[in-house]
Amino acid sequence: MESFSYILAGFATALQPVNIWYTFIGCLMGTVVGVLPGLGPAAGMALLLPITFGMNPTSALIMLCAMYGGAMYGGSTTSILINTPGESSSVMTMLDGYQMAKKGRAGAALAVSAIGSFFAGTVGMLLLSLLAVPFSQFALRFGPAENFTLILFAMVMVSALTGKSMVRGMFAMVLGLIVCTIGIDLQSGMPRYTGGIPEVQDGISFLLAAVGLFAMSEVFCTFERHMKGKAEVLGIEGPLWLTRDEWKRSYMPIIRGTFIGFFKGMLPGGGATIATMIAYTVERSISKEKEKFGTGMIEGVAGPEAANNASSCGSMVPLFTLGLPGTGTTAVLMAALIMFGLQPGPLLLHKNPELVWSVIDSMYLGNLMLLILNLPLISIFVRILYIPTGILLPLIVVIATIGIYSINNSVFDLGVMLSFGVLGYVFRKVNISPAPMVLALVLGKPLEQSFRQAMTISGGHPAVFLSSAICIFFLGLTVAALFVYLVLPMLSTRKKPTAAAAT
Amino acid sequence: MLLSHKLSNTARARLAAAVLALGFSHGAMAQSEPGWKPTERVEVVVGVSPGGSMDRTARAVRDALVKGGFISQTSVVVNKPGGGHSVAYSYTARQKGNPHVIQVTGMPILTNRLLGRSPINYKEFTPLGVVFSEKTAFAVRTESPIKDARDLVDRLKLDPAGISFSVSSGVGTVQYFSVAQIAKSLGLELKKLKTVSFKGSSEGITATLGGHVDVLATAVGTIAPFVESKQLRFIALAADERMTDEIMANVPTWREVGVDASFDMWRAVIAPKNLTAPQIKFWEGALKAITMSDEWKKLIEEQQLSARYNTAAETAALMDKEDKMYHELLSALGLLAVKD
Repeated sequence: MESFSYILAGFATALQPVNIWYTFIGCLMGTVVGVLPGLGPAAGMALLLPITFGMNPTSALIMLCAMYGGAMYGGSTTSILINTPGESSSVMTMLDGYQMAKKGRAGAALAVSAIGSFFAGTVGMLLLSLLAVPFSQFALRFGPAENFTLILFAMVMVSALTGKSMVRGMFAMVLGLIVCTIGIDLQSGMPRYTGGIPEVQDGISFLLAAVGLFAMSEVFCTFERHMKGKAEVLGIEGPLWLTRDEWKRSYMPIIRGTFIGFFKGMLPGGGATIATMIAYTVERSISKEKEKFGTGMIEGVAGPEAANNASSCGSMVPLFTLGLPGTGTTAVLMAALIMFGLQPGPLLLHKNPELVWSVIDSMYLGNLMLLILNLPLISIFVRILYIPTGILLPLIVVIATIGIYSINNSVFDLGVMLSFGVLGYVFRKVNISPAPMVLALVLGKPLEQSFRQAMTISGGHPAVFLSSAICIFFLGLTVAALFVYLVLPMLSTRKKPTAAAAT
Repeated sequence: MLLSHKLSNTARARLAAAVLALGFSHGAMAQSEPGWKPTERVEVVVGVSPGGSMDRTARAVRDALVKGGFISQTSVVVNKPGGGHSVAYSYTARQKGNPHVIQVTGMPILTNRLLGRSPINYKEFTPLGVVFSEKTAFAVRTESPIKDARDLVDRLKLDPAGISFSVSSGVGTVQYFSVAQIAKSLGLELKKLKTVSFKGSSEGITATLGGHVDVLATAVGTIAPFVESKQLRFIALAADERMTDEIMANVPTWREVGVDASFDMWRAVIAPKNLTAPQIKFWEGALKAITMSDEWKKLIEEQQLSARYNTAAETAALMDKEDKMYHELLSALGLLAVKD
């Protein structure tokens, strides 16, 4: 085993004081970037990129990867505390995380996300170290047809999130799909529904919708309650740490989330967000208390948070073994490699094994550091909940505004975000969950594009979606999910109409 | 960066002057003749997010200009992504007469208007120079049955819909146009050809390596590492002449097999309208100097780009010529969105 000696040598490099220092700096900055909504790992690393110029490439990459890890950790904080996703992959964490905070269990939610992230990060790195080379060919088997069936499956899983009213959920989802069609169409190159506004030619960013629909509408609603004198300070009930029962309910979701996240991470497109969706819906499907999801179930925080971090490890597999970034964040890492004069590509691992393994090994260290860094921070972060409404609301608006503005330095984006805030407020008033709309916004574009790519390749024959084992596997899952989520409830409604709400 | 935003204009000018003075005292200023020089920090605008290849070009230009002592250390790359560079174009175009804003761009400056994506005409800018170019190559999987360029042509003639092409980022890119030129040159209807657009060259390569699409068309430097690892095989180059380096010397051009397909993806630097003659002269000289530097040559070699420099006047002529060419090509393809 030739690479084993490289792994050991990598630790020697990663444990040099200067590299430990850069790991620490990266973790710290990553946490900040993750906490700020809008500013995700990709944008944060891109901002850091010019600063690393002139540094030793290994140290620079160690810092960038530490930042990636940090952002994945930090993203959950604002999701749980103030219902504002720090980045796209934290939306699923938010669904139950914020509800936990409302019940006074914010401490436990933050703790389980830190522990889940640590476990997933460490196991993910282990899988990366051991399986990167044998698995490098796996991602290549996913062409447009395979991607389409995978995304279709995720889409059906999303429909499971529609809450109690199927009609309302479908409405939100279809609205999301409609918004997805705005922008220049990749296949024909023509602008669709852009109204001649150059800012929307690239489509409506999912983050604008997420921050608007969740955070801003929350601000509006709380403001309304505040004016009526009904706004309550959330606070903390019970211990800051996990209770024995919470711990028992969390560890299996963390393990499942880790494996789901790692495998999804290796595949091109969709990034960590799809991994978190699948992890969440898996937890929901196998839970005995399905109807309680969305009201503060710790499983719904543990699974996606683990999937989130494991997926970032998985996404390193195609980057390091093939030189092909599957996500926006790994694309920035690849840009960094090029900036340092390294040739990313299938030969990177052969030509620069010391560098690759040092970076991978430093991520074990970064993970440990993040756990140590984040656990004490919980007691500080939860104090946010005690901030009086009159101060907290403007603070949320400020954080959300900075985060969104920093994506493109665009005032237009702020307007879009605010409009989604108003829409979210209306949604709340008429009891529509915004989650399906936001998730449809993530999945809509790749769903349409992969479908059309596959159809172009096959010359218009839909049989292409049955042409490989992977396709058939995901189509089978889709049909099964449809049956469980759509047909079964309908049948049970017919038998005993009163029990319909339970499923 | 935040700090420099907060500085008042005078303070900023003083800072810039101090930096410039420092440059002088070290003899780093490449130009000694009197004329215009930037008096404040310069914005290097680019129409993509950080990390992309055009962004890297912008950062390379900025760094080389700083190193050569042409612009102050406080100068920044400003990313204005959106609308396939359109947001950045309208930002730069609005800065009429401001010599402290330059933008790094490619051919979207011409095609955006022709495709109806932006109302901004390339004539609303001052071209300053071309700093390098990139060539598009065609490649297939190593185990692909397509033997070489001639074999591909034969197969296309037999069945135009039998081969799928990955044109990495879609309609309106050089990759797409080069496939269009092949179709036009062989007298085939472009609509019959299977052109599949992917979100970027990485996705296109992934699909080609996995055998999901047959032929990949993208920048030489992007394909080269996969040829070196024997996963992909070059079949043709869309250029006037063969490239000279080791890997590329054996790759024939499309012209050699009788197909008229050649595109040079030039990267140019532009400025807003209404610049004074000394200002244009300064920028022209600065760009010329950086393209001559050893670092620039190293960059071109490392990323398998093609060395190319054009003066401001030549760049203007180039844009006139190519605007006409794209006009004809797009109208033949039925994609033209403007009437003039």
